[in-house]
Amino acid sequence: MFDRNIYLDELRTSWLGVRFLYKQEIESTNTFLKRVPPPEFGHGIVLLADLQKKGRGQYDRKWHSQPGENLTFTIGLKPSEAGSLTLLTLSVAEAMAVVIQEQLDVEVLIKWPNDLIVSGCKVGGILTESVFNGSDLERVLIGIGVNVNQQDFHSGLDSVTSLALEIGRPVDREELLCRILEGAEQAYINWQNREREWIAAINRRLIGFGEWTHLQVNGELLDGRFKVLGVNENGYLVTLTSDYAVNTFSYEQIRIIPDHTASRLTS
Amino acid sequence: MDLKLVKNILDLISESDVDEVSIEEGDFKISVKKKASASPGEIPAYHYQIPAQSPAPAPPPSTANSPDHSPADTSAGPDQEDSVDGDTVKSPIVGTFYRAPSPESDPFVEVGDKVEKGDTLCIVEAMKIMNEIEAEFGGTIQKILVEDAQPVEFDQPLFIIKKG
Repeated sequence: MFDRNIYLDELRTSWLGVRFLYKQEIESTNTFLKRVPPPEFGHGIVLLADLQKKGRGQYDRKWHSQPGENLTFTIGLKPSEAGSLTLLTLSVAEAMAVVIQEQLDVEVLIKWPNDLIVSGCKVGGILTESVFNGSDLERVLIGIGVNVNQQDFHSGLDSVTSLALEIGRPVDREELLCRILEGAEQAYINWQNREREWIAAINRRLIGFGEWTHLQVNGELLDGRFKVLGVNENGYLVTLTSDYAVNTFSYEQIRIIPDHTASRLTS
Repeated sequence: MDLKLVKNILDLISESDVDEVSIEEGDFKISVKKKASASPGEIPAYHYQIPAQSPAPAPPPSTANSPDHSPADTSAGPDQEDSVDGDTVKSPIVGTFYRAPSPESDPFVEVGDKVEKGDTLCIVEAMKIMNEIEAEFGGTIQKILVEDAQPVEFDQPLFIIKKG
């Protein structure tokens, strides 16, 4: 079970995760924080659950997480602007990658737009949701899942790994969460300021960055190759076509398929 | 050349929605195009940053709550046949408009429904981020201006709701 006292003792943030909710079991941390009445929802609130019964991964696939082994939590935010939640998601992903690399000496890459990859396998993911009241952004929920100590994964989920599997020893979940939240707090500020260096760092970590890749857009594979120029300050994905025209994708579901995996197009 | 591989590729493509595929691996190269592929003039909307069916250029964010003159807005004048009485709810972001939480679910709202302030009206999805749009005020849904699963622009009118 997650030790709340160790966590609160270890945490060195100024606002993120200071308000901390823990549930042993919950349907979904995102949905819970989405429905919490306004007075109870504050900027920087964090909800962690040891078991999410309806935790969602990409494409609504069920997140096969064993209770008490991993970190599954949601960060609740009230940003003053509604611009570019994609860039906010990527910022948090970058912060997590930096922390994991520093703490465990494991190289982490970002798979557009919300997955964390270690040695070709998925080790974590982010599911961001928001609520607008009319045109005003009311709250943002950044749902995060990291496979920390899980040793085996159900079949049907190919290329999945955990941090413990990668480094060959268990990882302290309380400590890792503290470091992730410290990183995410700074990432939020970097996002607000649209720090150029930070956006450049995100791009360098993006799988396919600077390479000619294939693109799948809204489920359809596009003709030809595209050079990934990276994410811009609006959170749009910028690519170069084989005719040297620039394409900017602002809202589409994009899958970047690096050339070396092109023979597995239908996977 | 491995003929079985070629057959597998052809089978996969015929079962998929993809019209054309080129695969290159080492010195092996194959290009396949379906017969019923789209005409050359038909360029998918996703090649552009702005969805093809976008309305007039979006006004700056500061005017989000002031009346504009897009055709769907009631301020366009009472002469219009489809003029509907009420206030317009606009999209706060660029994305894909969804009327229901999932394809199997019922829509959040239908024309004629009464909504309370804070009720969810729709989802606008952008880059896999689900953005729920809630009603800013209570009232009756007079009109739904966008079809399910259509791209929407920033500030594009989505609903007309009669307050009260």
